[in-house]
This record gives sequence, C-alpha cells and structure tokens, in this order.
Amino acid sequence: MLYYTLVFLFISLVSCQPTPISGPLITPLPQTYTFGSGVIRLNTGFFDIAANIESDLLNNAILRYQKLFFPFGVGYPTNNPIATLNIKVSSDSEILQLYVSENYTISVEMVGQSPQLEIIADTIFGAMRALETFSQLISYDAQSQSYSIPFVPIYIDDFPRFPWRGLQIDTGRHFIPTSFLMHIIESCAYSKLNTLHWHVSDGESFPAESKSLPNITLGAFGPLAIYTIADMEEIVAYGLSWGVRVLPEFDVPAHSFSWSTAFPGIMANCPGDSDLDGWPLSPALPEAYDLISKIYTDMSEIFIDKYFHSGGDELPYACWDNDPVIANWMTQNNFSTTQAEQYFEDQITNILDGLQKTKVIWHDPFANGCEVRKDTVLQVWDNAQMAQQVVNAGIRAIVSYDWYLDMQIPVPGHTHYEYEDTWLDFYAADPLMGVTTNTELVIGGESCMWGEQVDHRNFDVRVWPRTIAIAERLWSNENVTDTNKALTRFDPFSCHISNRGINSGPLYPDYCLLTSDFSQYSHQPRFKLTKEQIKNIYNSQK
Amino acid sequence: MAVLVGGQSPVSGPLIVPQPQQMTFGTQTLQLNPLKFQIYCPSKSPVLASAIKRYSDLFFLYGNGAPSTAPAAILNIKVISNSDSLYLGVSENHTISLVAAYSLLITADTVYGAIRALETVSQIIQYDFVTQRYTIPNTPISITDYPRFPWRGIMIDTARHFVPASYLMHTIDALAANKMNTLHWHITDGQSFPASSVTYPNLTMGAWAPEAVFSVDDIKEVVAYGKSLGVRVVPEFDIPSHTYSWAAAFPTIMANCPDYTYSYGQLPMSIANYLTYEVITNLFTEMSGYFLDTYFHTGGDEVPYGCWKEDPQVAEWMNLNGYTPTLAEQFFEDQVTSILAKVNRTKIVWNDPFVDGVKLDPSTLIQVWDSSFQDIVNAGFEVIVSFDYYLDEQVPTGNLHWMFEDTWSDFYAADPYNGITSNTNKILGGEACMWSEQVNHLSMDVRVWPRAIGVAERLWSAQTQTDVNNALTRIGPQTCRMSQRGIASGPLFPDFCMLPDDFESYLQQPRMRLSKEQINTFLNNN
Repeated sequence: MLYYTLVFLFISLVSCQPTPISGPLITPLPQTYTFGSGVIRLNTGFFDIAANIESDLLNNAILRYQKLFFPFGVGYPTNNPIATLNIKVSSDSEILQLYVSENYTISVEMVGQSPQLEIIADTIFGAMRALETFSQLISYDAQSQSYSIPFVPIYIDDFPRFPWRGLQIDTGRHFIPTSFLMHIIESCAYSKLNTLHWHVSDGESFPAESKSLPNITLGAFGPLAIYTIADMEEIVAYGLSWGVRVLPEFDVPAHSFSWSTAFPGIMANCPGDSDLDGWPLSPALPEAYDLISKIYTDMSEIFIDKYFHSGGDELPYACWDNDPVIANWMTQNNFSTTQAEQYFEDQITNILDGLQKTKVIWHDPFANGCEVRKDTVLQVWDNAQMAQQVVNAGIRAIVSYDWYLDMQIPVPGHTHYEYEDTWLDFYAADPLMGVTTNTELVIGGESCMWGEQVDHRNFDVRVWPRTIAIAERLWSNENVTDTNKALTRFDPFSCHISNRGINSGPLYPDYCLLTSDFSQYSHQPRFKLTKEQIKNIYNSQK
Repeated sequence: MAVLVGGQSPVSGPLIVPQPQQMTFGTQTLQLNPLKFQIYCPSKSPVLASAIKRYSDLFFLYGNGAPSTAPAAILNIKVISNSDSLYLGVSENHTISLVAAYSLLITADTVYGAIRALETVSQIIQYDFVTQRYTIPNTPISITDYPRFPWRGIMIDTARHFVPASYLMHTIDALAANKMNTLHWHITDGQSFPASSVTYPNLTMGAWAPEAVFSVDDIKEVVAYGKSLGVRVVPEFDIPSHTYSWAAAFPTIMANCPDYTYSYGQLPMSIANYLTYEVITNLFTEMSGYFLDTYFHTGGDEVPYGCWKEDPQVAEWMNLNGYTPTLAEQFFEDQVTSILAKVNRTKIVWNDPFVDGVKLDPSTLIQVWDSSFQDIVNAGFEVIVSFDYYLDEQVPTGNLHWMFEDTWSDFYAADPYNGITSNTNKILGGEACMWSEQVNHLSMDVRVWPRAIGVAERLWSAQTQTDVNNALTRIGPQTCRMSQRGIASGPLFPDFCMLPDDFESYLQQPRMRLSKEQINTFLNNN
C-alpha cells in the first residue's frame, strides 16, 4: 500500500497522456476539417501569398505570416514547384468590432502536379485567423531542413463559437512595458483570442497619460512607468493589425486610489473601511464625475473600440456609509447605499453614452441590486448562477469565474498534483455549464491575469500554456472536450508559439525544437508598426 | 477580484536575502563612484578572481551613472585560506564591514565565504534612477554571517525536458544570488538520456533529439561554472528505475515486464543481468571524472517490485539466490555503493530503499521526499529534506492560498526541523525540487523563482527568522534584483521593478561565461 502511495506522489504522473492523433494538429480545433495522406513539399524560395483585395491590414498580415510560415529559415534548397496561397476575401472593410465575421475555409490540395492552396473568408479578420491555422499545417523536418504540408488534401471550415474571446491583463498592480503588451497581443492572435481587456488602472497605480489632465500620472508607480498617448495608440493599432480588439478598463468607483495622487479631494473618506487597493471615489462630489468624464473622454479617443469597461467591482459599502459627507448626501437624496451606487453607475453610463461607448462592467452592481441597462455587457467573475441571473435579466454576459490565472485553485474543489494541470479545469469550464436558459446572451469569456504577482518578467509563463485551453473552449465546438486529444495538440501548439518568442512551457515530457532566434522575441513583439501605419489604422476605423 | 497579498511591513536598514545571521547598521549614506571603485584582494585564487570580476559588474548594473564627486573607494577582501577546493561543508562564513569609502572590508575563511559576502554587498549597493547615482545607505554596516545548513540546493530534471547547458549555468547564477550552494542535476530518467559518454557514445540514442544532449565539454563547463560561484554540481543518474532511456543503447539491461510498460518512465533495469552492472560501473566511473563533488546521486526511487517478479529471468535469479524483492533491491544498492566507493564517491539515494527495508550502507546520504524522515535520522543516516519543497505541485504542503505564488510562504514555513524531535544534527540541509514534466528552460525561471527564495532563506538564515511580512519586504527587492540580472523572477506584491536595457540579453543565459582556461583551472585545482 505504501508503495503505491509513493508512486502516486513521486513520479508526478501527468493525469493525462497525449493520445496519438493522425492528421493536422490545429489549436483551437477547427469546427470541421478533413484530411488525406498526401504531402505537399514546399520550396521557401517559391512560395507566394496573394489576395484578391487591396487592404493594408491584410497585406501586413500576409507579410507577417510569410515569415511565420518558415520559422527555421529558408531551409535546404529544393526544386519543389512554385506554390501560391490564394486568399479570397468578400469584404474589403477593415473595421474591427465585436461580432465581425472570423469565419474562413482553407483548402490544400494537389491538382495534377501543382499545389492549390486557398483561403476564403468573409472579412480580412477571418483571413488572419486562416493564416494562423495555415501556419500550423506547415511542418518542418530538422533532419532534411525542409518544409512540407502533410495530410493533404486538407479542407477546413472554421468559425468561432463565441464572438468575445479575451485575455484580461492588469497594469494597475504592475506596470508592463508597451512592447510587452504588443507581445501579449501576438500571443492572443496566435491562439485566436480576439480581445485584450486592458485593466489599465487600479488602486496601486494610474499609468495612462491623459491629454487634458497630465497630472493624473502622478499616480503611476514612477515617471518611467507610464503609457504615453502614443504608446496606447500603438497598442490599440497593433491589436487591430492582428484582429484583436483592445478594450480599456478604468476601474471606478472602487480600485481608484491612484486617481487621488493628482486629485486628493475625490476619494471617499473612510479610514479603516478599505485597503488602498479597493478604496472608492466619493459619489457625492461633482468633481469626481467631472474627473471621470475628462479621463474617459481622453481615453475614448485612443481606445476606439465601441466597448469601454468601467470596472464597478467590489464597492465597499461601509466606506461610503461611514464617510460623513457621503452619508449626508445619501440622506439628502434619500439613497440607500445601493441607490447611491445606482446613481454613480447611471452617471458613468451617461458619460459613456456621450462618447458613443457601450459600457462593460463586472457583475457586482447587478448583484448588489442596481438596475443595469440592457445594452451593458456584464463580466461575471462569481459563478454560473450569477451568469444565469444576468442573462435571465436580458443582459449579455462574458464569463471569467473559472478562468482566474492567478489563483492557486482556480476552480473550487479541483486540485491536481502538478500546478500546470489547472489547464484541465479551465478546459472543462464551459461558459454554458450551469447556464441553461437565454444562453444566446453568453457572448464569450475572458481569461484573467490579475497583476499582483505578475508583470512582464513572468507573464508568459503564468498565462501560457494554460490559456490555450480557454482559447480552445471559446473558439471550438462545445463537444470538443477530450483532454487527451487536446494534450496531443496543445504541446505542439505551445512549442509553435515558443518559437515565436512566447515563453510557453510544456504540459508533458517531450522535446520542442527551438529556432536560433526565438529568445530575441521573448519580451518583444515580433513585428512593429510604423507611425504612418498606426495613423492609417486609426483612420481605417472611422 | 483581487486579494491583496499580506501587507509588507517596512523594514529599516539593508534589505538582504537571505537575512544575515547578525547585522548592525547606521544612518549614514556613502556615495559611490563606479569609476573610482576598486576591489583589492591579495588572494591568488583564480575562483575568487573570477567572482570579483563578476561582482564588479553586478555592483553597478546600470553603468557608470551620472558624474559623481564621490571619493575613491576600496573594498578589501581578506581570505584566510587560498584553497579553491569546493566540498560539502566548506566554510562560507564571512564578515562585512562598510564604514566609509576608505574602510570597506570583507573577511572570510575561504574564497567561498568571500563570494557569499560579495553577493551581500551587491544587495546593499543601491542605484537611484532619478539621480543616477550609486550609494551604500545605512552605514556603518557590520555583518557576521554564516549558513544554518551546509547543503542548500535546487534539483533540476533535464530528462523530462531537455534544457541547454547555458540554462543550467543561468540557474547557477540564480542559486548564488540566493546563497544556495548545490545544483542537484537529475540528468537522466525514463524519458531521455541526454548525457554524452565517451565509454558508451550510444547512450545518447536515448536523448530526445541529436541536439538535445550535453557534451562532455558541456558537463565540465557546468561543473566549473558552479565552482566559480561556490555551487557544487551533484549529478543524479537514477537507477534501477526511471531508466528506460538507457534501453535505446542497451535494450537487454531492462527488466522485461509488459504489465508495467504503461508507465515506461519508471521501468526498472534487470538486476539479474551482468551487463547492467558493467554499464553502470563504467558510466559512473567516467562521470566521476567530470563531476568533481564527492557525492553522487543514484536515485533508487520507485522500484516497481512487480516488474522484477514478472520478468522470468529476474524472478528465477531471485529464486536461486533466495531473494525477496527487498533483498534483491538490497543486493543492487550494495553493488552501486561498491561501484561508487571505488571512485571515492559517497552515494545519495532517495528515501525509497530505506522505506522498502533495504539496509543501506551507513555512509549513504538520504534525500527525503516523504514522511519517513524521523525514522531515517533515528537510524543514523544523514539526510537532506525535500518533502515540502516540490516546486511542481499545485498544493505543495497542503496549505491553500488565493494566489498561486503565495505558496512561497509554505516553503518558507517548512523548517527542516518541523516534526523532528531527535537527531536533528543529521539534517545537512535541503533541496527545492523542480521536476520537469511540465517545465523547460522557457518556463523554469518563473516556476522556480521567486518561490524558491523562501527555501533559500529557510536553509541559510536563523531558525527564528520566520516573519512572512518581514521576508516579503526583502524578497521584493531581491526578486527585482534577480530580474535585473536576467533571471525571470516575478513579483509577490504590487510594486515597480525598473529593469536595465540589457536584462533581456541574459534571459536563459549565464551572466558571465568562463574561458576554456578557467574551466580547466577550476576543474584541476579541486
């Protein structure tokens, strides 16, 4: 008996073993695909990508993938025939927004002696997803130093299950350089996540430069821990260039102590009722709303997505109750604390209405009993019961409760021998698990990397490979749940993105052949945009 | 959605990790000018010379800074012994006295004590990003320091995933930054055999790939690099189980037990085959030429007795000799002890043979990873502890936290004496274990650090040093400092760590390579 206990404890058997799968290993798993047993050998010197439309964004993506298709260099010269990947896109619109089509098909076949490679998509963003998938079809053989596409003919028909597939990051608890945020955007695009939810500010720091209130960054960790307007524009444009929406969050009314470095008068006065992290603004002061309005106005110009996250989480009612000024104001207005919160949230909604933004908040005000307007998106971090209540109220939900990357035990009651096996919990956490009615209002989810113990030094390793499971859960069919099969695809995918500079470790014993230059990109974006491109990308969204 | 890590209590004075045994400090600040800073050391030790060169760089990570009018300063290093010999128990004691520019002094019994002192000084020197100046605050500083345990290590597993030799040297840098002195290198396992052997070149057929191997030169460089920082490199070639990778070259030395192949990573050798012992003898003899340390780890864990019983040849052999599986294991362990004795090596094994009832040679050092601890020391064996220091586990000691990184505090609380009531003098120290089923060099820094800092301090500092908030206050700057040097060690609470422009060039890389000549010198003067 003792012996078996020892075995279990020591060798740390990974609870899953990869299952041999034949055929292409694509992550997230496409909705439908078929494959054969042929091979198309590629000649890197004679490989072209051609598109049927003129789009700067698509052309840029094509240039990128021409490099990413062949990570190990040109390889050994071959005399394989010329191959052209033809991209056919129906719309030349470059507008990136929630619900934009990301559908695509890929066909890879030999017609006579010549390879026929084709991508068809509704939009350039669908074409970008297809390019990523195509890059995963190409295989490199280190011994012969040659590239090929095995398992042809391949036919893929793919589309996402949910339109909102995000990763939330937190630059309020730790500053993360602009270059690293672009690096993160790449990792999102590789795994077909389409939303970077940027929790910019929190109680600990306010790192975003504001045109109208330059002093606000006195609340940053330091003068070198600031995003300039140009930095933020570069991040937003970089996201757009990968089909990744950048959703800003400026958390109010709680988690806002950092605003008060520049504007000390706006905080609730409640020593002892909140820690610095969660400390709220005062709802009783017109200056507070004025400040929020100015900041949100500035930020709305930079963050051009239609959605804007205003936080709204974890309001410590006791703090408002115990501030004499707020208490008096609530009495005068005949407000309960919940009504005071309602009032505050209504003001934020008005501010965002004026900026043509749709509000996103954490589910807390809803849970507290505030009326939430139907066009709001609620991010649920509590549990499926809460998600069910939200959608039953006719409000759209994005789910995050089982996807907290910072937690030791992300899904209550689920523990594993090895920590990285928490990917299994993320994978099993279907957004519709426990949500049985009004499921169409669950529009996706986000993996959350809170920043108390994370910055660019350790970010990749804390997020990857575990978030691969979330990316697949949000993209692939609901019935794709076999963890052994997933493992067989996830480790090659983890290696695939490692080769591009994302520090994504393994999930079981194996070997990942790395390029000679991967480490150059381990904290940097693979690509950069010129100032001109950034400007053009902004103009393309108008 | 966010639970704040327990508040950090402000600690005044120098923030040093691990906390020194004794320290006093004042309120003066000494300005330093990197251009007028010298380290003076009459010792002729090549190891110390190399360390001085390294720390001259690490003292001033941000270059020369703004022009300074600070006076010239000299750090004097006085070492009693000139010997470069590195071995378990070598003195790491030192004193540091930082009074004024003309009065900066390190004294130590050995070069390795001086190297620990240099690390401490590097943690005392501060750089101000605004004024771009270096200072030594809190002078006069007086430190008397020495380790609580002589064996303070990290175990790395290069079999479940290959990591390059350069990354092992990078890890040695990280160990030295935390005054850890042992790299336990679990080289082989069932999944791969990455160590090149001149005697048996075919063994690396069991590697993951032709390029996923350590050449003999790689191994020597890692050992020499360890020595340059006072880090002993102890090899582990795990036998008789966890050896399936040996079978690529020597298929017949494996036990034949089809019922057990589902867990090929753990399959054992045949103990009834003469070739098994011949291969082990020749390989261990060769490897003892590269690994200078007198300790040699032979694993010994997790022998599946059922496999030996299932193999007809092994079963017959046991029958002929009247051996139970335990006696067979005993026979095997005795052979390994003799093989190592011939090359003057002391055997280390995991606690499994002891737990199985094998009578181990009294000289054996036992690494404890389960609860058999008290029995082992009572039986008179020396031990190193690892049971509460498993870095791969989700719940390393049974304690639950909101945030995963807070498991550092479990490691910190896990004193080697916990639960031990007698024979504590048998505890030589401990090791944090990074089993690598789910780790490679891309992720290892982050999986190991900053959490293993909790282990490093537990093994160096006084037993009474247990205040988590006090530790956090010091670990904050320490993890930042490690990052500044290129070790990807994240934070434990909200703060800001300014990184130099060049930190990325040292990610996964050693900070300072040794020359071929240095490697030869270091390997030959032990």
